[in-house]
Amino acid sequence: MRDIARKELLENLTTYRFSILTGLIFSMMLISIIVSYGDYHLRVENYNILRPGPKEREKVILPPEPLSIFARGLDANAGRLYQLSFRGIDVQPSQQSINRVSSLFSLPDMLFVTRVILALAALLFSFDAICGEKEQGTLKLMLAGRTRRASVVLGKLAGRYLLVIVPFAVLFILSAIVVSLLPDVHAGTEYWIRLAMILAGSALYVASFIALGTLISSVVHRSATSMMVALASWVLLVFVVPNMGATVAQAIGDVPPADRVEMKTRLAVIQSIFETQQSMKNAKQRDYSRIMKQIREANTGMFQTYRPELNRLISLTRSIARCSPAGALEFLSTELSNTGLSRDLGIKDAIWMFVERNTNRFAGLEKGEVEQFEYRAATPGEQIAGVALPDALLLLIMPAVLVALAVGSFLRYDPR
Amino acid sequence: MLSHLIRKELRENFLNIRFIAACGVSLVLMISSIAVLTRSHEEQVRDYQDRVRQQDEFIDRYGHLNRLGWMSALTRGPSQLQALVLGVDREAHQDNFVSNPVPVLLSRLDFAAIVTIIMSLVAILFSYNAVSGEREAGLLRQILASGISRNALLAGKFAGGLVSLLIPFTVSVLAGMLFLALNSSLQLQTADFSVFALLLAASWLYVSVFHSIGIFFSTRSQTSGEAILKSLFAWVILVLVIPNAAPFLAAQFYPIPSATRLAQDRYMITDRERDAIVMQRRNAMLEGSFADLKGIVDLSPNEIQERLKSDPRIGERYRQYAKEYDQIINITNKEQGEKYGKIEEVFLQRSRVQEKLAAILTSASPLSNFVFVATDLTETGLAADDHWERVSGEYSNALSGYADVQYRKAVEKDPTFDYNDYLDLRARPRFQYRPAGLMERAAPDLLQWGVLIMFNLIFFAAAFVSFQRYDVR
Repeated sequence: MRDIARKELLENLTTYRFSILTGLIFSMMLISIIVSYGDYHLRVENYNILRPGPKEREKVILPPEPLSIFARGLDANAGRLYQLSFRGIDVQPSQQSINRVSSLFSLPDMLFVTRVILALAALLFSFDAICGEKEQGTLKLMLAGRTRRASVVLGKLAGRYLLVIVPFAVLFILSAIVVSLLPDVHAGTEYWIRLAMILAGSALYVASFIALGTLISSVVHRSATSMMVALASWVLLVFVVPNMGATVAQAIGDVPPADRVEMKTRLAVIQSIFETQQSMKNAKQRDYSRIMKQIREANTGMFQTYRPELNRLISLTRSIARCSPAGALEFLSTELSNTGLSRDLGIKDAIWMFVERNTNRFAGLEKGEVEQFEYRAATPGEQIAGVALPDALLLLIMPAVLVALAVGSFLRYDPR
Repeated sequence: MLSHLIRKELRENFLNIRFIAACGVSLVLMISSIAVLTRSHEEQVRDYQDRVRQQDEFIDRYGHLNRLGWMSALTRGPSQLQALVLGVDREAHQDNFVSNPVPVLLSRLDFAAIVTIIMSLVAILFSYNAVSGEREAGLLRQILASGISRNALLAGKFAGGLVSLLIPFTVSVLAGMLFLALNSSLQLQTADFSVFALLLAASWLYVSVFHSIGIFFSTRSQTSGEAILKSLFAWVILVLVIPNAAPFLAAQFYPIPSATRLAQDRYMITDRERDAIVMQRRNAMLEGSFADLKGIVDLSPNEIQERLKSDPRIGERYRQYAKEYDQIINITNKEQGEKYGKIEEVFLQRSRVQEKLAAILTSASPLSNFVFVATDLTETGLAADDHWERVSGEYSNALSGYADVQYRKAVEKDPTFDYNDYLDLRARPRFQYRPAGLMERAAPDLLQWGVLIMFNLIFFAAAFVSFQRYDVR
C-alpha cells in the first residue's frame, strides 16, 4: 500500500494537474488573506471609533475576532454597536453593509477557499484514480501481481490525499504565521489551538472529497463519466444541499419574520407610552415607572416567545445543511473561529440579560451605576464538546464511510 | 456544410450522458427552487399584508404627532418575482435584534444562483473537449483532411454545442416560469412576462460566455484533461473570485466614514442638541416678551385650560406664546436639519463613490453583470432599493405634512393641545407601493448587457484565432 501511495505521489507531482490546482489553491489563499485581513482591519478601525468610554455603559460593542480572517462567519454581525435603553435594544448597521454591492456577494475567506476550491481540487485529483488506470490498461497489470485490491484503493487514496492536503496544510500554516504577525492581530495560545482544530476539520473535509472521488472512480468505467459525476456531486454537496437547506428550512419552519416581531414590540411600546402619558395628564407628580414596566413586559414577551421559535428554525437549518460535509465544515469552522451561530446567539442572550438587569437604572428609576457589560466566549474545549461536536463527528464519519464504500466497490470492479 | 456540422454535433450531444445529466439537474433544481421560494413568498406576502393592516389600525387608534414616524415605519413588501431572484437578501442585513442569523452564513438557492454557478459549470462541461477531445480521438485530422475549413468546423461545434446546452436549460426555465404563471397567488402582469423573456435572454448570454470559454481553452490545449483544468481555473476566477472579492477591495481602496458614528451624530444634532437649543430659546422668550406667562406654562394641560377660560386676556397671550414657541421649534428643526445634512451629504457622496467603484471592479466578471441585470429586472436589486427609498421618502413627507396640518388645526381649536395628544389621522394618505416600470428597470443595465455581449465576442474570437494555429496531430 505504501508503494502504491508513493507511486501515486511521484507520478502526480510532475503533472500539469498538480501545478495548476496547487497554483489555484495558492492564489486563492493569497487573495483570501489579503481581502479578509483588509476587511478585518476596517472592522477594527470602526470598533476603535465606536468603542464606548467607561461611563457609556448603555453602549455595547465587541472587538472583531482575529480568526474571522480565516472564517468570517457572523463576526461583522456580532461586532456592531448595540444601543441599550429602557425602550429596548437598537442594533446599528455594520460598516460593511453600507456598500450594497457587497450584499449581493460573499467574502472569499479561507473557509470559502477550503469549502469550495479545495473540495473541487480533491475531486479533480481523485476522479480518475481507478477508472483512469483501467483506461490506460495498467489496472489489470497491477492486479495481476499479488497486490490486494484493498491495498490498491487505499494506496491511491492516501497518495492523492497527500497531494492535496500537504500543499494546503503548508500554505495554511504559512498564512497563520503571516496573519499572527500583522498589526491588530493578537495571536495567543488559543489562536493556535483553534487554527489547529480548523486545519484538522479541513483535513477531514478534504478526505471526504478524495474518498468520494475514488468511490465514483471505482463505480464508473470511463474518466469522462467519472468527472461528470464528480463535478455534479461537488455542485450538489457544496452549493445545493447547504443553500437549499436554508431555503427549505425557512419554507417549512413556519417561523414569523423578525420584521413582525419588531413591529409588535414597537407598537406595544408606543401604546404603553401613549396611554400612560394620557392617564398622567393631570397628575402633579408624573410616575414613569408604569411606562417602564409596560415596555419591559412588551420586550420580554417578544424575546421569550420568539427566541425558542428562532432556535427551532436555526436547528432545522443546521440539520439539513449538515447532510453535506460543506455544511458541517461551515458550522465547525465558524464555531471554532468564534464567529459562529452559537456565539452570535450567546452575545444576544448576554445583552438581553444585561438589559433585563439594568432597565431601571437606564431609566433612572433605580439608584446605582449600570453594570459593566461582560461576555465570556466559550473555550475551544467547551465548543468541541458542545455545539461543534455533531459537525466534528460528521466530518469524521463521512470520510470513513466513503472510504469503506470505495474499498467495497473496488472489490467488485471489473479491471478489464 | 455548416448545418451538417451542427446537426452532427447535436446528434452526438443528445446521445451523450452529459445532455441527460444537464436535463435532469437543471429541471430538478429549477423547479424545486422556484416551488420552495414561491411557498416562502406566499407566506411573506400574507405576513406583510397583515402587518400593514395592523399598523394602519394602530395609527387610527393611537395616532399622535410626537411618535408618528416611529409608529408609521414603512417596511418593504416582497417583490413579485422574488421567487425567481432573491437579490439583496434583506434578512442578511440583520436590522433587528432578533433577526435570524442563518442567511448571513448560508445564502439561499434561487434562479440566479442556478444560472450563475451551476449552468456556467455545465456550459464548460459541454465545451471543454470540443476540439481537444476530437484531437485525442484522432478525428480532427480526418475531418480537416476532408476539406472542411477550420472556421466552419469551429462554428459548427460552437453552434451545435450551444444549442444542445440551451435546450435543457430553456425547457427547465420555461417549466419554472410556467409554474409561476399558473400560481394564483402571484397575479402576474404582462410586464412580468417581458421580464421572463429578458431574464431568459440574459441567461443565454451568460451561459454562452462560459461555453465560449470552454471552447477557447479547448483550442489552447492538446488534451481534454488540460482543457478542463484551464477552463475550471478561469471559471473559479470569473465566478468565485472577482465578484466576491471586488466589493471588499473597493471598501479598502476607498474607505467611508463610520455609518454608526453618523447615526450617533444625527441623534445628537437633531434630537439632544435640538432639545437643548429649543429649551434655551423658550426660556429666553419667557424671560423677555412672555414674562407674564412664566408661572402658567409649566402647569398641567387641564390647569392651563381652566386659567385660559377664567381670564380671556391670558388666553390671547397664551395663543401668541404657543405660536412663537411653535416657530422656535420649526426654526431650530430647520437649523439642526441643515447642520446634519451637511455631514450626511459628505458621507453619502463617499459611499456612492465606493459603491460605484465596487460595481466597476465586479463588472470584470460576467457573473456580476448578469446578477445586476437579473436583480434589477426582478425588482430585487440595488436600483429597486433606490426606488423604494425615493417612494417611501415621498410618502413619509406627505404623511408628516398631512399630520402637521391636522396638528395646527387641533392647536387652533385648543391651544393646550399637545403633540402627545391623540390626533385623528384616519383620513391620512395611505401608502401604495408601485414598483418602477419595466423600461425604468431595464434601462440602467444596458452597459451590463453590452459587457455580457462583449465577453461572448472576445472569447468566441479568441477561440477562432487560436484554432487557426492549432496543431491537429
